[in-house]
Amino acid sequence: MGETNCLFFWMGGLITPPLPNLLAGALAEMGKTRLNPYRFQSFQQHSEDLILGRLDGTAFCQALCDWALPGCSGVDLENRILAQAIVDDRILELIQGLPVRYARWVIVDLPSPWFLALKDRKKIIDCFSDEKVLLLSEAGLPHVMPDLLDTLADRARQPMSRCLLLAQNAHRTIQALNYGMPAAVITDASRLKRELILRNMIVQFDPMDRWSLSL
Amino acid sequence: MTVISQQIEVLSEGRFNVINITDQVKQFVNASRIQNGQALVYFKHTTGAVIIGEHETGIMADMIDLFERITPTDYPYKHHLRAVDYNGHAHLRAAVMPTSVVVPVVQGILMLGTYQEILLIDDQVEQEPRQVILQVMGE
Repeated sequence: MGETNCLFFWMGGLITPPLPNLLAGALAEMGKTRLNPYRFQSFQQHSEDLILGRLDGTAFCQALCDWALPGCSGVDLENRILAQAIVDDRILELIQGLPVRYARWVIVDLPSPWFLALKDRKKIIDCFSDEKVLLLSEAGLPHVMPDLLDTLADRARQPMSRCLLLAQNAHRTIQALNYGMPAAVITDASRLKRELILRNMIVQFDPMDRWSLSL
Repeated sequence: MTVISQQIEVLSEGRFNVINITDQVKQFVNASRIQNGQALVYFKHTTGAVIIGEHETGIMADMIDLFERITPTDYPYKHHLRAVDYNGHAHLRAAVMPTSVVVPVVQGILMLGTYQEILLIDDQVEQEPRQVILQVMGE
């Protein structure tokens, strides 16, 4: 395995909460507390269609409302989802602190209009230059995995072994690793920091750091 | 001695989904205010487990490889003869993994090592809500 040149950060679950959690939070606000979106039988297919741009955000939300909250508006659910999509500043702080030798990409797994409407979007853009924002909904992929992995290596012009995928979804990281792209499951900023230190990508322990002691 | 219990529901995609619930257990222990005792984490299903391990992608991939060798997903399990569900592999894997873990609580802190995480493994073939019981006892 060669030296890592390029890091891909999966937005949902790492920089913002993952889509199922956004949905669960938004549905709870609308009176459906403790509703697991995975109970929605078509959830997996609908969310893959949403991520890949085959279904727009409003249609996705309307389908969920029709199932969970008959009579409610998909637009209302959509707005609530966007309000839940709070950016994790500590993750972005770590990404900004990476040495410049690492190319940094973000994989956006939200529909493009949702990404544009994120109130914290600027913070994300500050971390990743425009050409390193990969909107899955505009990538024209038939499937997320493994198709995305070839696209990532192509766009970065790097062999897969020089890339590193960082994502909160364990399945995706396992699929990537099995396909030949190094990957790490990351659930929060403290664990991201630990992983980057282990891989010698950032400097070791700083005793004055306000959250390095949190693990 | 005080005993406090809580049931939590975990969002899971199933299919050997490994979910890190360490932070939820830490929050539960903190909220209990118990200083010295034990915390129990118990998985309430027959197609998964709770383990203590490192939440690392390579380890998870290796575990899946291991279980695919000894309990392949695609195999004519006798459990399938009942024609109710087709998750024989998940039941067998669950039978050789722990359903619960116990972690000491000392001075209000869950005594986990640097790389130890409390991991829920859900191997159900369908996406179902997964229930986990958290219980802390002590004083």
